[in-house]
Amino acid sequence: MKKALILLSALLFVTLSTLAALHFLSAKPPVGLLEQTHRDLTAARDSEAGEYEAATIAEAEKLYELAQEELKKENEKVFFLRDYNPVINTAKRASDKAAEAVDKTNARKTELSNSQKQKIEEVRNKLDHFEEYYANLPLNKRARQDYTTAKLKFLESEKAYERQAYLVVENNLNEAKRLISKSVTAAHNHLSDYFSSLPSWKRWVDETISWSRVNDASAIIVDKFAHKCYVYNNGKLVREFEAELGPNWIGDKNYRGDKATPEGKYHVTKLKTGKNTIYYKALLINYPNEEDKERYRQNVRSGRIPNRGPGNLIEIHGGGGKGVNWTDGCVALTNDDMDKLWRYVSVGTPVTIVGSTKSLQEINGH
Amino acid sequence: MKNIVKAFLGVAVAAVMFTSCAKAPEVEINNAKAAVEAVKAIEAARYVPAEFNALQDSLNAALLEVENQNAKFALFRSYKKANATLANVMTMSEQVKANTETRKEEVKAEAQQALAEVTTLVNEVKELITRAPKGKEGKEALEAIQGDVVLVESFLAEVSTLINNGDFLTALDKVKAAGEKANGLKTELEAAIAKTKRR
Repeated sequence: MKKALILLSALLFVTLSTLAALHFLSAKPPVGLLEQTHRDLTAARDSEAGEYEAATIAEAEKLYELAQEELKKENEKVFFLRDYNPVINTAKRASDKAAEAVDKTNARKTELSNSQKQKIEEVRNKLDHFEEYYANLPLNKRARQDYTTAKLKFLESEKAYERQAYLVVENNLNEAKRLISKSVTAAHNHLSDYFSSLPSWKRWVDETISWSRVNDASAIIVDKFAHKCYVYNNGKLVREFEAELGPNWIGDKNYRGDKATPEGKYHVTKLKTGKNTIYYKALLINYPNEEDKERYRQNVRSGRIPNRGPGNLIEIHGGGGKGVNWTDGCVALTNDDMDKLWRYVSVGTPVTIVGSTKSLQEINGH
Repeated sequence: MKNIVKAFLGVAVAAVMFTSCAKAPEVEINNAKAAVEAVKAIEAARYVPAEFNALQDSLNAALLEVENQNAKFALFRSYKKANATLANVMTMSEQVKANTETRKEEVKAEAQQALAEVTTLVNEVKELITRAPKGKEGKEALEAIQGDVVLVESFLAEVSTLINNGDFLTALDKVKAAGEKANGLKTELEAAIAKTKRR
């Protein structure tokens, strides 16, 4: 009996020793590797891969979950039957995917950052261009609205760009670009129509300067686009004043009350001072001339304008310096400038009013 | 002889008892996972990313520790370390939850304050419009500015919606943009008013 017990004990000892040895030598779970994989996933999420490379990071996370499941499954097996190689392979694939997500995210961010930087400059230039050349023009409401919305979207994009939220920047910046391009195109087309009369304007200006030279007398030229009133004497430019016009100064005057400043070759018909004018001093010109009257009749006949009369009492007068176009179609100078102008004029002095003395390309490079 | 048999039985019973005690902490694991999910649901990853990542790392470490123990011979398993980590996950998740709420409130307050400031600015612009030169003097310019104010106000209405939806960062971008535009309008109006006064 004693021998049997000793034998049993020895057998038990050998069995346990064998099991312990097998256990000791059997595969160990790749916990360290899985921890590293998890850190790789965290790094990927930190790089905002969730936003920029959602599909890749989702795949990496799925692989990591699979690795965990495989680990669990292997641990449920008898220890000497466990094989952690599939777990290791899956974890490595998850790490690779996480690294791929980081690389792709960084590449996408760099690409967006560079392209958006360029686009921001482009939109800023368009906005500046619009502000410099078109913002103060009497454009239609839509063009102004589009410009303002573009400006707001642009400013919002700039703020988002500063905090590197490139995905937010993209949509707003594209919208800002679309709107400002639309406004610039509308304004440019509007002005292109306006500038179609440039050859006539240039001819009028040349004729007026020539008249001044030939007659050794003074002549006035008003450049509506430049908002300038030039005084020529003996064919030479002697004075230059800032001028304010009617709010609808783009285009010719068509009828009474249209708040447009006429374009044409006129002359001073009356000099007004004191009680004769409410604008300090005024030079009445012969608007409408015969050409204006004929154009008015044609426009009324064709139904293009209302039959309100062509208007009259167009003057160069004082009271200006408000910084806006406010007259009913007259040309307003400051009272000081009226005093200076007064010295050069008399009844009959030519007054040529043109849309511009320069081409649109000379003005804004387009 | 009897003593030897008793000793064998004793060892066997002790071994069984020992094995029975070392069970994987399933309840604690489920609780910890639920706590992390709850924190994720309140956008902790967005507002306190570092803390949220640390929380996830802790949960992961606990789960791996459980599997590490599961891989051992039953007699040698110990879930003490895993339990401690899981308990820490529960504590951390409470902290992260509180910090997320605090950060959210901070950003929300920042956005609301910015919105209030720009709203005041827009009201100042509106007040300046009433004082700006009227009549034919600058009527067109005033109408254009009024149109711009309407657009700025519609922008601010979008800000309110964003704040209500919890998108505070986008709300801040928008409110700052509206503020910049409103400031431009204010300067424009002040210049026009000053010009009128000089005449």
